[in-house]
Amino acid sequence: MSGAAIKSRPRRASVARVLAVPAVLLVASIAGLVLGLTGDGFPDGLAWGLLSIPILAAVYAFARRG
Amino acid sequence: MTRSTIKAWFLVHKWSSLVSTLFLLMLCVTGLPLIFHDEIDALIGQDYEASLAGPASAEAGLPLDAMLQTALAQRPGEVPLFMAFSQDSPLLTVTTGPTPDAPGDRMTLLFFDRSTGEALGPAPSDGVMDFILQLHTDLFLGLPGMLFLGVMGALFVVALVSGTVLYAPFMRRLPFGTLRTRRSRRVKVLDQHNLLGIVALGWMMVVGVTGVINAFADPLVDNWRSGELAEMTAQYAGDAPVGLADYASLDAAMASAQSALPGRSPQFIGFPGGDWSTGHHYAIFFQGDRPLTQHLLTPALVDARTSELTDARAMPALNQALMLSKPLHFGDYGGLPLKLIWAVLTAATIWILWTGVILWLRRSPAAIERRIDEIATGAAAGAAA
Repeated sequence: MSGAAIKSRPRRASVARVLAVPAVLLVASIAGLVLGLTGDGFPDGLAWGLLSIPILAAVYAFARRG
Repeated sequence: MTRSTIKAWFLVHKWSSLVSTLFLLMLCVTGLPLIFHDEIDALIGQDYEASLAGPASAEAGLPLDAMLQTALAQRPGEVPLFMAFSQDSPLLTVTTGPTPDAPGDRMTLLFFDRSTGEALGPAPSDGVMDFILQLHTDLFLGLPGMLFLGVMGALFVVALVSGTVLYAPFMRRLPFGTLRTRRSRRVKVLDQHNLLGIVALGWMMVVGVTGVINAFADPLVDNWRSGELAEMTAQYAGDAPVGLADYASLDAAMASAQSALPGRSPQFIGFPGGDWSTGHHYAIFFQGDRPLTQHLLTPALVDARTSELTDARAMPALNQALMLSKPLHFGDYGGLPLKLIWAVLTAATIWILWTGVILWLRRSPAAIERRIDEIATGAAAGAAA
């Protein structure tokens, strides 16, 4: 591998930084799944909203791929 | 992480996935229609939950003894196995069978309107959905099939954990959500696999773990019956089982149970001699009285000869976990939008499994060392694929 290629590489982020977004998505998913169990009406709406976050994250990534 | 640690996790991910992929694909494909089984059933047959008017059968209606007589008159010579209540409509169901311990395929499920006493006939059966459900639950192999699929589910959980462990070092040079499309097909597929895997992780983890718990449902119920239930009803241990002719009033039994668990709504009654009771009791299962506990059932054991309460006690922790696992696995507790979310995430899971298979099929000899390098140093836009 040439020196230029190495120089052009972005710095390696810390593991905490890499996992920050996945952790938010994980917490949103599980919170949505559990809160939806606590009743009908508002808790269900909360579940839909929270579980939509990971889905929208994937949709966004696919929409802007290049 | 050292290179050898990464290699170990890589091999765990590879083999836990490879062994279970075919079965997981089957579970996803059969699970998709099962998410919508209520809607499909309503399309095919009459949707009694929506069409019957009157108070919920769990709350009020004609006497239970009268409903049971109507049911038994339709199935002469058979015995009652279960009576189940609706929390939303007057629909009441009675399951009968030739003997108290009849297997599932010998049971008959009958529908009734508890507010009018009208018999609505046997539950409409849908061969295709029944086939799909059976395949999804036990591969038509009974308990061994269920346990086998439970093990496949456990491997799925292992694959999710190991995949996440590998995701962290791999993504250290790439921003979240990177999908490299101008590189080799392998890179393109790998990025999709990683993105969808990390995005759907929470849902896959919950559906995977609850699926494993559901696979152990039968042993857990057997364990409750031979353990805590036997203990609650120890004074009956030597007695002969109570026969149909000696059954006391169900309404009196319900009243005794409700005086022990006031304010609770009944979900179903297990009749004497079945999997959910003893040979001497009506086991009346009540829902919790708060939203969070409505999925947790508490049984009241009522002497089937005298209608007097023997004991009422919450089920053991593992059985409670099983009861909470059902809605979390089925996704049927938050209306149609939640079911659509379930379907989208199931489709994402199918794509994760499929891209995993492609990545494995396209491997080349000695490729594993390059894969480990790629993970250890972090994939990057400029690095060789």
